[in-house]
Parts: sequence; C-alpha cells; structure tokens
Amino acid sequence: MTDTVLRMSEVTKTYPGVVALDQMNLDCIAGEVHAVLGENGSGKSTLLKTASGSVTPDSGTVEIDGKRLDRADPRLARALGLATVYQDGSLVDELTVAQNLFLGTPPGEVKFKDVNRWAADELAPFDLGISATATVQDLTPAHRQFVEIVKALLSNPRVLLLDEPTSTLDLKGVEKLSELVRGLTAKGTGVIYVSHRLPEILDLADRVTILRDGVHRGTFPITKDLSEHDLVSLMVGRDIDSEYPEKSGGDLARPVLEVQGLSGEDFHDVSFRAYTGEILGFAGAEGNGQREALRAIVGLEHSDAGSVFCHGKSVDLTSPRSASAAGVLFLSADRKEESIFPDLGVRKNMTLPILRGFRKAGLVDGRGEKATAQKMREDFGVVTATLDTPIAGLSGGNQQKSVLARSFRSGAKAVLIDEPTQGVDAGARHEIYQAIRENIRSDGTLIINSSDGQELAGICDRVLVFSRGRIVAELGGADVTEENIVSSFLRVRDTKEVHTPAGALSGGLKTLLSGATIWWIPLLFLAALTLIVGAYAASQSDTFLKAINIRYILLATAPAAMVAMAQLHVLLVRGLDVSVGSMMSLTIVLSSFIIAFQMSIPMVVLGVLICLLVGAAVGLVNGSLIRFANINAVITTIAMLSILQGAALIGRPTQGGMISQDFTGLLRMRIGFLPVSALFLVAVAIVGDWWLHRTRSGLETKAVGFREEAARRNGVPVDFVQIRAYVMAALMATVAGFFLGSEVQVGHPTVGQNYALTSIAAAVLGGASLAGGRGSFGGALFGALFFTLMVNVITILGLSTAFGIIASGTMTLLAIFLYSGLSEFERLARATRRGRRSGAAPVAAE
Amino acid sequence: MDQVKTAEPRITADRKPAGWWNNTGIQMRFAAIWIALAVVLIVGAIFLPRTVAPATINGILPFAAFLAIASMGQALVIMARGIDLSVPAIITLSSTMLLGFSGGSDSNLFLGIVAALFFATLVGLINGLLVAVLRLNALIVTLAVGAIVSGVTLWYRQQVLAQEAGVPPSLAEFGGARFLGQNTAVWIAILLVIVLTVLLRRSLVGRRFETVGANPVAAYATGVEVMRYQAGAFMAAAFLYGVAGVLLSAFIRNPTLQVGNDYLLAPIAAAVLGGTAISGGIGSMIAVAGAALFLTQLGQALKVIGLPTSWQLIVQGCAIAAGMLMSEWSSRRR
Repeated sequence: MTDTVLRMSEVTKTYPGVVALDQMNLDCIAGEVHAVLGENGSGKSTLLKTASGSVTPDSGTVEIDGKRLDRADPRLARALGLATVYQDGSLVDELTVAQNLFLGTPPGEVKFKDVNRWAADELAPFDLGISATATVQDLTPAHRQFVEIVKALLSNPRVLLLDEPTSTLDLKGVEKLSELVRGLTAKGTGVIYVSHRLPEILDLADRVTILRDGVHRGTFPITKDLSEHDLVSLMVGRDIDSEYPEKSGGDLARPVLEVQGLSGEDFHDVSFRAYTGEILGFAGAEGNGQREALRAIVGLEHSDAGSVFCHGKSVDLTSPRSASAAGVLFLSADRKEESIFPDLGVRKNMTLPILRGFRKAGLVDGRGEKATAQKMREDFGVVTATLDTPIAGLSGGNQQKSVLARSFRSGAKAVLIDEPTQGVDAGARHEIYQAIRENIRSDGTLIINSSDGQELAGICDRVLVFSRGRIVAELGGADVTEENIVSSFLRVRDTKEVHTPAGALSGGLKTLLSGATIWWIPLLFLAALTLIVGAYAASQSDTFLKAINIRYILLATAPAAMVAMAQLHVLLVRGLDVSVGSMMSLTIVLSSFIIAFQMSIPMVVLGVLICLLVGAAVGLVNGSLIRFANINAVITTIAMLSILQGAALIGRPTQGGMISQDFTGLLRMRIGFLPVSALFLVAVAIVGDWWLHRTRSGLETKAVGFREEAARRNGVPVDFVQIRAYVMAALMATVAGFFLGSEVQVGHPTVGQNYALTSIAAAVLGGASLAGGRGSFGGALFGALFFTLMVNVITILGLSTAFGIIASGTMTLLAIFLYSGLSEFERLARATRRGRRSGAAPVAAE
Repeated sequence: MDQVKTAEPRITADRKPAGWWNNTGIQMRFAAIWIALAVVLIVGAIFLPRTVAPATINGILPFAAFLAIASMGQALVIMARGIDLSVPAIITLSSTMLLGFSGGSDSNLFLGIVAALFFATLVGLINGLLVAVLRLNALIVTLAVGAIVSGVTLWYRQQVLAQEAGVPPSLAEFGGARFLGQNTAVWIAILLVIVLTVLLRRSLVGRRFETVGANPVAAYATGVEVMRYQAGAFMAAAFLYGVAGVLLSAFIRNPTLQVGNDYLLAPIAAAVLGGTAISGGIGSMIAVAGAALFLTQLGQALKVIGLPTSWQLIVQGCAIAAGMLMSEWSSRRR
C-alpha cells in the first residue's frame, strides 16, 4: 500500500507581518506515522489548520485521499477522510463520554436511545477502560485525550492529525497512545503526529518533517543513524543578527527573589533564586507548567505549597495586589485579556501602578502624570498619536511597549514577564529587548517566560528549563544557547505525574450543596422545603389543606410554572430573559381586545393565534438582537421589557376589558378538585424534559449552554439553538399570560411585572444553572409550585403581603447562592487558607 | 483553571496609529447625546413651541435633576460591569425612612435625612457584596434585593407610618425653593455632576475604578483591589438613589410607596444614551446628566403631542436598544 492519504503542495500562508508557512510540502502515506517537528511558532499549528480546512492558504493545494480540498471547510475535509484531534479539544466536559461521541456523528446515524450501547461498542475495540456513561470531566486528562481520538475515528478517516497528543499523558498513557497509533497504521490509516518530544518521535514515527519559521527544513526517514542532535540543529539556528543587547549578568551575591518548593496543580517543587541585575528565563515546551509557576509567584495561579521571598521578605501569595505590595509585579502574556485596558488611553495604561505618586491635595496631578507618561513614552519608544489615544488603537508592539513601561517603572523589585514579545513585529521586538535590558533596576531582577528559545538565549543571563511541571535543567553563562535550551526540553524522557488538588469542601458535601450536577438533588431539596412549609401551614391553619385552597394553589401555579419553564429555555443556553413578565402583561392586555368577552369561538381561536404570533415575534427580535447585533442579553431584554410594558399600558392605561369567559373558563376547567391546568403543566414538563434529556436536539441545547465553542466544532447550529431558546421563552411566556389572564379576567396592564423574578428564581430552585446547560422542566414546575405555596401560606396565616415579597426575594438569593455562589465561597476560603500558609512559612532567606 | 494557550504564530496586528480618529470616537460617544438634545429642542421650537417655553423647561428641570442623580448611580454600576434593578426599591426605601425617622417634624429632619441615606447605602453594600465578593449575577441579585427591600418598606410603612405622611415642613419648603431662578434640586444635581466628574477623572479612587471597569482581569493582575471597587460602585450608586429619594420626597411633599416606580428603566436608558459603555470602564457623568435631560424633555414633548405617558416606556426601550446598537457599531468600526 503506497497510497498518499494527504498531500500538501507548495502551501503558503501569511498573516500580516509574518509568513506562517512558506511553500510547504508534506505528504503522508497510508499506514505511516509522519511526525512534524518544530519549535513553538514554527508554523505547525498553521500547517494543521490548513490541512484540516479551518484556514485558507494563500496559495498551494491540499489533497486528501487523492481528492482536492477546494475550499477551506472543516466538514468537507472530514468528508474527504481527514480527522483532527486538537490540543484544546472539542469535548463538552459536563456531558458523558457517550453523549460527546454522539455529538460527533452526523444527525440520524445513531438513535438517541441506543447511544450508551453504541458508544460502548465504539470504545470496546480500543480497550481503554473508559465507561461510556462516565462524565468527561471525571476522566483523567489521558482518557479525555483518548475519547477525543475515538471521536475523531468515528468517521473512519484515511488520515488522522494529532496535535501534541502526549502533552497531557503520563507514561502509561503515552504507551497506550503508541499502541493505538500502531493499531491504526496497521489498518492503513495515515497519521500526522505533531510533537515536541523527540524520544517519542524517534520511537513511533516512520518519517519526520522539520519546520522552522514556516520553512520546510527537510523530511527524513527515521533510521538508527538519525540522531537527536541532527534534528535539533535543523530546528534551531535562526540567524542571530544584532538583535540582542549585551548581557550584563547578575550579581550572584545579592538575590532579589527566592522561590522555595512552590507546588501546584501544574508545577511541582519549583525552587530557584533570581539575582540583582539579572534576566532569568523560564523555558519549556508549551504546557509544561512554566507559565503556571510564574503566575503562582504573584498569586494568579493556585499553589498548594512553597514560599516566595523578595529581598528576604515573605511574599503573600493571596493575590497580585499582596504580591505587588511585596515588590513583585507580573505582566501577562494575554495582552488583550489580562494586561491592557483597551478603551483607556496610553497614559492611563502606563501610570496605573504609580498613580499614588502624583497625588497633590488628594487629586491626581495631571501635569506631573503627563510628564512622567511622556518620559515613559520616549524611553520605551511608544509610537502613538497622543498619550490619550485608546491603547486598543496601537499596534501590538506599541501596546506591549506601553505595558512594559508600566511594569518597569512601577517600582517593583522583581518584574515577571510572560512572553514579552508575543504578537509583536520584528522591529519592535528589537526595541523591546533593548528597553528590557536598559530598564532593570539596580536593585531589581527580571524573570521572563518565553516559548521562543532564541529569544531566551538572546536576552537571558540564566535559563531554567521546565518539563512536566519541574525544573529539569539550569543553563548559565556560555551554555545559554538556543540549541541547548531546545534540546534540553526536547530530550526529556520523564512523564507527567497525576496530581489531584484538594478542595476546601469535601467532595460529598460539595456535590450535595452545588447539587445542580445531579438532577434530583434540587427536586429533593424542594420537596423537603415544600413539606416543611406545608406542614407548618397545616399546623397553623385549618383552611390550608382544604380542597378549595389546594385547588387555588394549583391554579395560581399555572402562570408561574409556565413562565419558569419559559425562562428555563433561555437559562439552558446561558442567557437571561427579563422581558417574560411584561410579555405576560402584554398578552393579557391583547387578550382583552382580541379574545374579548362574548366573542365567537372562531374569533377566540384567531385571537389566541395572534397572541402567540406576537410572542414568537418578540422572541425572534430578542434572539436576533442578542445573536446578530451582538448586544448583551440582559440589556436587550431590559429594552424589550420597557417596550412591552409601554405597549401594555398604552392598550390599557388602567384595568379594563373583560377577557372571553369561554376562554378563561377553558383554562380554569377542572376534573374533580384538580384543575386541568395542573395536568397540562405536568404534561408540558414531561414533554420538555423528554426533549431535553432524550433527544439529540435537547442534547445540542445543553452542549451550547455548557460550551458553545465545543458545540460549534461538533457542527451544532449554535445561532439557531440560541434564537430558538428566546422564541420558546417568549411563546411560553405568552401561554403563561393566558393562564394569568384567566385568573384576573380583565385587561390588567402590569399584573405580570413580578413574574420575571419569580421565573428565574423558580427555575434556579428547580436546578437550572445560570452558567447554562443545566436544569429540568420538572424542576422549574416544582420551583414555581413552591413559590406559589409560600405566597399562599403567608396569606393564609394572615401575614402582611410584605412578607410574601420579602420571602420571594430571599428565596431567589438563596437559590442562586446555593447553586452558583457556593463555588465562589470555596474559592474565597481557599484564598484565605493560601494567604495564611504563606504568612506562616518559615523565613529561611539570607 | 487557566487553559494552556497554544503557541500562535507571531502575528502582527499592526493597525494604523489613527489616534485622532479614535479619540474622536470616544468623545463622540459622549457628544451624541447633546446633539440629540439639540435636535429635540430645535424640532420642539419649530413644531411645538410650548415645549421650549421657559416655564415648561423650568417645570421639567427638577424631574430631569432627580433622573440625572439616579442615572449617575446606574452609570457607576454599569461602568463597573454591573446592572442595578433595585433603583425604585431604594428610592422608595429612602423616602420612607425619611418620613419614618423624621416623623414629619423639623426637629428630626437631620436624623431623617441621615437615616434615608444610610439605609439606601446599606442596601447598596449588600448588593455590592453579593455581586463583587460572591460573584452572583448582578441582575438577579438587584432584582431580588429590590424585592426584599420593597417588602421591608411596605411592612415598615404599614407598621410605623400613617397612610398620609408628609415630609418635615422645612424640607418641603426646601424642595419647593428656588435659587437663582432654579429649583434647589437642580443645583444639587449640578453639584453632584461636578463632584463625581472630578472624582472619576482626577482622584486616585476614580482612576482605579475606571481600570476595574475597563478590564477587571487586567486590573486584578496589576494589583488593584477589584472587589472593593466593584462593591463600592453599588454603594455609591445606592447613596445617589438615596439622595434622589430625599429630594423627590421634598419636592412632592407627601411621597407614597410608588415614589420610585418610574426609576427602574429610565436610569438605564439615560446611562446607555449618555455613552456609558456596557462593557465597562467608560462613562461621563456630564453626558449621563444630559441624557436625563434629553429623556425628560422628550417625555414632555410626547405629552404635549397628546400621547399617554406610557409612550415614555416605549421610547426608553427603543433608546436603550438604539444606544446599544450605536455603541456596538462604533466599537466594531474600531
């Protein structure tokens, strides 16, 4: 068999200012493992993305299994026989393995009810020991990686792309993966294997292609003669011009920062000293804990053990603020999210840490600040029209220079910089290196984490190499070369250790309290509450248990439950709709006109249809504004609330206009003492839950709520699912309006206004999560029943109506606290513990 | 947990340093409302001269002042990336506490005002703690706290106050008094606009607050006490609602439990129209006050045309949507 399953010819892809791939050629033969090797940023990701159809190349062709990929379309690439397993994954953590695999199949291929058996059958040949019904988040990272691979293999691809498949694996996982890959190639599948790890490649691959700066450096068959050294020297060696300033070296007698035994989830026992005047580098392949270790020094990452001292003083690792108080300041690699203030001016971005210094008579001295900012701008060569230009309008390089100026002039003794030149063009990079070297304080030190080996070699006096969370090598003096750095992390043969962090709350208690993960816990909780309140009411009042009162409660539950289920639709996709209450009011007002007293039956039917149509239109407008005009859901539905409420008040400035009694009578019908509406509600809840938990459509909705990006990667029509949720919410709110209308009988323009709060509260009490994806219609129904019950009890006990309002507010707060505030509580508790630990650490410096 | 970021190729997103344009963009978001106000006044002057008559303008200015004060509170919350739906409840609470603690007599006037502002701020503190420290959803928290506060206010009023309660006579006199031809509430609103503007633009607290709104994650990483500023926004806002409640009570003399009702949506509309960025950080108290004036004047014009006051709600709803669309459009352009 010598079929070529993937052929890329002369592929070029440029991004503004950088050539990511330059005339790249690559082919993969059926049954071979073809490794792709290159440093960070050498174009490997672009190569994968081009092959899998998510990036359009500027020129060149991609052929999959002999057929040309004529447009960049991941689904087409998949249909042609290519499957990709990305590093950051496409799994929805909250769903089960089977459900995730199911989402990866085209609709109609597998029946929903067979999904677990089907998934078990798919998993069986791989012998992974993964249960199909396990939730993905409970799996080990290795198992997660395998599920990704199994999912990719569902389409029986001719060629499989694996992007850093072993980065999360331990030794056993790596062996298992190798076995799996060998099994695939034996069956004739071609595998493209992107990795940083030379030993693995030498062990597994048939051929290896080396990339450097987007240029194809050659493809070599793996033979005994091919040495690691040869490969490394091909990967490194970009021309070093006069890009880097001269090194000064640190004063080894005067340590500035001392880190002892720092350990966390992704890094273990990290200890080192950074000396005065020195630039210390953190190196390692992406994802080996070096970034997390750096962030933990300022408390941006959680650490379980260890301590940090700056100039001999213990550093409190609770938060960046406490770290900066001790003289340690961090600058993030994620410039847009974590370092700049995009809409604020350059000056405001630069002077934040030193604002206090400009204080004059309680106010910030504008002139002094401007002068300092001007000096910073000149010293760091920031090119900007004015100092008040929003920093988002500057180039990446100038943004970076501005925040570097901020860090270096902040007065911090130890400055920590993650990726100082990421997303910066070559010219600015040079200036940044100069500025960095010039601006180290005479009593300060600088630590840099970089994925660019050459950069580290160029500017660092010393480099610490990380692998799987540990420092595995230290390079100093003349040893700080790109080749040494790269080869020291490429040649590492150790494997990741599995490490479980301990939570502040014990597992069982946590599950019980943040119980939304198990659907019946909120219901149990509600049942208990209902029993307590009911029993109390029954003991205090004779009327409570009378049939007429029970019927009254059930009747009053109808609108509350309908609107709670309406809200649930939106909550499931991680939205909120505050306009449901005014939608109910508007429906009642509309009913008083078009489903009016003594209208004929056909007219009533027509009126009902018109109301529903209005509801659907409102939902469509809400959904479209949120999805297409990109307006915040809260603001959109607040605007809608205002408009609908206004419309209702224009229709009926005060109460008036009887609603058809045929219609209200129908809605209040009863069998024995039981209102038909109660049966209807139960039916709606059953249908809703069946849809949510037993159909592909429901599963897709949950996937969108949990992780929209993963849902999109699996081909879920995300926009459609979102808009459908808002339409369903408005429609069900309209029906809720009918039920409320049957209670009040007349066109009352504001009667629905309190239902927005109730709807959210009832749904959340019933187990819906504001973070999306979780909830049940039965729960929402039960939640609404409880709310109605509570109000009824308060009335029956003769308490002021005020208590009803207070109780519903309190219940809402309690509900969102229990189901979403508790994890924050745990986070706070953890932060406090951490602060205490670092405070109590023995001072052993100097 | 932070996801490990995959190495991206070194992309240079080199945008042209179009500084003046961006600058104008920011200024435009605050200037737009003044243009809109001018349009309403000019169109009014041409077609509905009554709406721009000095007597009419003087008549609406106090209402514009109350709205401006409440809207500045809402704008502060929005600048901190929150939303506050407890405004009506807090205004009614402060009004009711004023009545309760002063007992309608001048001797307890000071106590009444202090109590009104204290309880209002206390509610703001609760909102702030729930939102900033426990990270609960601001919309739901303020809606729920609003309900609780309304309940407490209702109960308090039933228990403590007579049906018809009035503010102390000297406060009523103050509420009706004029200074340099304008109602005192208008001057207080202007004073608050100036103080808040100076605080936001020139004080240490204001400048740090701005960064917390503009990018809380970056502010945290740079060592700003983010929680404190976020919670502080809710407190400061509630204090402003309290002031609005006191002034409103002084103006109408016999405030009822409905006194705050109009202040649920209008302050949001004014804040959004005044160019406050829903994505946080950016806001101008002057522009927000202008938006309050605009909305009040527009409402007045609608009334003169003969439309029922409920049209106000529709106008506000459309104004919120339009303001958001505009701001989304301008940020996309950049």
